[in-house]
Amino acid sequence: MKIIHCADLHLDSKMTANLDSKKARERKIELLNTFNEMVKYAACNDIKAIIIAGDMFDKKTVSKTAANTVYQAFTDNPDISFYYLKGNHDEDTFIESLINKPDNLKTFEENWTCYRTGEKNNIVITGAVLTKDNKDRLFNELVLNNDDFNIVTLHGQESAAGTKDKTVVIPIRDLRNKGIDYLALGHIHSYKEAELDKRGVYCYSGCLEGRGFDECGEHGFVVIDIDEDNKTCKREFIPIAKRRLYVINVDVSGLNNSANMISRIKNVLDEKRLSKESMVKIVLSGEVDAFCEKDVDFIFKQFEDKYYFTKLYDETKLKVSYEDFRLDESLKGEFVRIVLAKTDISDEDKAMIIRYGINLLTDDEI
Amino acid sequence: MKIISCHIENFGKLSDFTMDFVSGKRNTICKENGWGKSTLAAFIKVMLYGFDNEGKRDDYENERKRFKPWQGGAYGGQLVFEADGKKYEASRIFGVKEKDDIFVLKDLESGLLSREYSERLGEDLFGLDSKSFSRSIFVSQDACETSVTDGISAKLGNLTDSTDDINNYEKSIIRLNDILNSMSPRRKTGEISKQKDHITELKQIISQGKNIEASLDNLIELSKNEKSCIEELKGERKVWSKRQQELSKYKDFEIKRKEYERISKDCLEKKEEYDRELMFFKNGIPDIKELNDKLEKAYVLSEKKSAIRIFELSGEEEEKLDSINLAIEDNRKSIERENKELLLLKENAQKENEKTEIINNASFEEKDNAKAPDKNYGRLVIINIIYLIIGIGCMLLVLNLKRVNSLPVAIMAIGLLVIIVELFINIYNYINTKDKKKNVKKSSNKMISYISNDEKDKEAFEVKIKEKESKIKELERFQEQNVYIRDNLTEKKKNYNSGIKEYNEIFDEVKSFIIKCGFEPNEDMYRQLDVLEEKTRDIDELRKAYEKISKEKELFEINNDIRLIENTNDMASDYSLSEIDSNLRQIDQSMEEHNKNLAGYTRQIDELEEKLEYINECENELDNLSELYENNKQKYKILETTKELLEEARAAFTAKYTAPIKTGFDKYYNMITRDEDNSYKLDANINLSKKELGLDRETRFLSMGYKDLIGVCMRMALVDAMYEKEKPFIIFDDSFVNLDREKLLAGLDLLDKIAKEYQIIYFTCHESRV
Repeated sequence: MKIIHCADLHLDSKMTANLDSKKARERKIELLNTFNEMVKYAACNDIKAIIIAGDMFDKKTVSKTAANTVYQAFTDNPDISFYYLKGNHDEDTFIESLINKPDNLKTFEENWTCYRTGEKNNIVITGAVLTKDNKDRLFNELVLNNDDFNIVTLHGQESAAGTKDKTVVIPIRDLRNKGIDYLALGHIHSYKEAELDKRGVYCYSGCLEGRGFDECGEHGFVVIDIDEDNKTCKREFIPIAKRRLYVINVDVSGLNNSANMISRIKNVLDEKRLSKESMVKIVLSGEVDAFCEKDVDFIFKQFEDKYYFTKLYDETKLKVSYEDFRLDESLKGEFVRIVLAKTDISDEDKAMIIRYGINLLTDDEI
Repeated sequence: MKIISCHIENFGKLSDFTMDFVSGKRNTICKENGWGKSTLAAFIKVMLYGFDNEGKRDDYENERKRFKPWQGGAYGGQLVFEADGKKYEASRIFGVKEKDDIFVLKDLESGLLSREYSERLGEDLFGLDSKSFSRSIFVSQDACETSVTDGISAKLGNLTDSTDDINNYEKSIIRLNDILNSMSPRRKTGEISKQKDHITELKQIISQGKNIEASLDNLIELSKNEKSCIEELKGERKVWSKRQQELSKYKDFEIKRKEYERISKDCLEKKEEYDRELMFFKNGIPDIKELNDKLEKAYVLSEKKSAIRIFELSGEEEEKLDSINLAIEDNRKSIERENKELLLLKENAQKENEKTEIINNASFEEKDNAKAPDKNYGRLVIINIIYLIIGIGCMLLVLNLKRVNSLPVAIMAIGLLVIIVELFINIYNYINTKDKKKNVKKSSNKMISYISNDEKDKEAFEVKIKEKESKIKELERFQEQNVYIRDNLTEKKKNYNSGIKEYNEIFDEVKSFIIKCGFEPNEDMYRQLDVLEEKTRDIDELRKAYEKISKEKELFEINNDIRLIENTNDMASDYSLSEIDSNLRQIDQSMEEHNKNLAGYTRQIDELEEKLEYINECENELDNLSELYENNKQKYKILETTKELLEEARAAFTAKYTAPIKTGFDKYYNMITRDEDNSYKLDANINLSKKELGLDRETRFLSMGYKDLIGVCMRMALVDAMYEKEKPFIIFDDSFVNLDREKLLAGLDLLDKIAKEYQIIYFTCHESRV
């Protein structure tokens, strides 16, 4: 039997963090489309169940379009069972809005709920909505039959680090030696699989689509192919995201004009061979001369339309060569010497002041 | 650098004017007002720098327009000068626009065109721009005051060749001020100020977000409550609907129960009636077909009785029948006898006829034979022709064969033999046929005589036969009449006998049937059977009615749960239908109310969602704007610092020349005023101030005379500082007009003194200032 494990769909996400309203709307639609694509994949590949390990929606109120799309996917695929676990972003709004809960939609409560499935009826999908109230008792209450192939689904942070909102920590250690074969987790937005114990693994499937530049890399879902006789499984990560996000660091150290920097960026991007559908953040780094000609707007304009979305960050450090001005009998020399002599100004600010001052005198852009 | 001479083709009011200049002593041009002194001074400047204010519309401010030749003609002239020990002649012809101007520089020693200096001649010669020229070595009328320009600073710092340093300072500061103003957090129009306002505005909007979220939570909660109320009401409605259905069902069952009772009762009644009627027939219900048959037969009996009587023979008829039978027998015998006699007659007549015919036939045959052609004749002709053809054919064949051998000879012989045989046969036949015809004619004539004798005997026989036949016909007619009468009477009698027999048979059959039905036959069996038939029909009707109601009952039982129908009392509700309806109406009203509330909440949620969406956008905008604001603030701060430090740098840069300039100023000031006044101070930016009554006062607050005096001294100090090597000429355009007599004389004395070092060109309009 084959089962899909996905999580963190965040349907109805605003997507406005980087994008303008038009593209944000497009991405919002793309999130729904990707969900549909995953369901279509399941239908075409003999997948019998889809586990949604939390955060199917992004906020408490669910748009009619999103609700209808998800509902339609459920009802159009009666042969696929959808195991939907609420995440910290999910509310009951969607489930409550359903006039008729489809038979193939299985949900979980704050206590462990088990669903037995498989041709040999020996695959058990167990899950519980983790809250601050039940976190202390829940893991002790988990009792599984070792003779079954046990999948447990939870939504939360695998360690105590970086938790906020309603996110609760999943103590991986407490789930060891419980007879779990596959721990299907949600909350972390990038794919991760690691050993749980001698018997099983735990896995974060990551989100279906990256939404910001903190969610770069491949995104998709995991297909668990279970051998019901041997009670073993093969796992495969299936990338499905419509777009991929990249942060491209371009070291422009030593370059002293925009043209050179454009050329360097172009070379780096060409090497990467990114799809036109990508979302790219270019970060200029390195140390450049304070008096170099560097027009960030101009540089950005050269790459603005190369990808679906592009942004450019200038994180270069300015370098001022004091020696060049030590004996320079000019206003510029005087200016640089005065700036460098200031002790109450940071080096970064000094570089900027010098760049501005020199550019003013040389009629360059500041 | 020195001016040797100038020639004006046409410039302002001056036309075809030439003037030579000397060195080592003051060149004084003292002319009355309106002579064109300032025009000449302007000519020298324009020859060096071109026109100022070319873009101005005002004809006075726009120098090209202002000095346009009054009398027309070529606009321009020549300036002969000496620089770096070489003499040059610069010629300029001015057009309507700058691009139309012509500049030519000639090396007077070689007489060739020179590229030593460009058309920016003044800048090349003095290292000063036009503005700096006017602030230093060109002291125009009423403009003795001066200040240090970037050009002067650059010249002071030997940076005239560098275009992006001190000489661009003022422009940079102006540009920086513009940037700072455009960004200013203190000005309403400043970008930072506007961003701050917008941030405040966004924060204000975002601050409503929490309230909106709280409202949204509240509305979601209310919405949930409404939904649960609706669900509850739906549950209640379900219960009441079920009750209503059950009650309706009960009512339906009640109706059915009654219906079933009616059917059952009816069925029972029909069965009783049927069973009762069945008792009428002790031996069972007769077959209706048979009964009808018997009834019909009973009816036929009465009919038959009267019909038989018609066929009964009377005594007279009985006698007549006997006598006719005898007559018929006698007549029959007579007819037989007569027929025998007739037959004999006919046989004799036949014999005679045959004899006659034989004779006739013989005579005719003879005739025919004589007349008829020989049948073998035709056949012989054909054979003859064949023989002939074979014979001729054989001969032709031989003639065609050229070689003579035994085979053709044999064939020819056969052919000739055949022709000869054929000729003999024909001759024989002809002779034989002629003899036959002669014999036939003789025998035929003999036969015709025999025939005429027999014709008379034959006619006698025919008369006797006709008489006999007539008699026989008469007897047969009589016989037919008697037979007809006899047959009628016999038939009548026969009918009577058979009618009697049939009647008796039917009577017995009907009687037996009535007995079989269990009844004693009476006289009117037909009536009796009619009653039975009616009864049978009635019973059949009852049977059918019973069967129908039984069927109806059976169907009802099949289609309905009789157990439930018979136990409808268990289904009786505590509520009446109207009570249930009333409750359902109340629930529906309540649901409608809740649905209305829910719709309202949903609408409000949608509106708040939209607001939250907008707030979310505002938050994003705020994030971006805050970042931009902080960046701008930082940039502004850095630019402010940049400005401060640029000013500081400029002050430090110029400070190096402050001391020599101040010394020069003091020197020239003392020369004119003959007073060692130490109250003047020169700051790092080479701005002069005078200390009076304990405060530093700007020189612009001094009298016109002192301003001019200070201006001249300052210019000389700057020129001293700027031109340490080759000294330039200095033009004074009536610069001492505001000085008192004492200072005027001192000033003129100064000019004479410096004229030893600099070429001095001094314009004045009055002899008193010469």
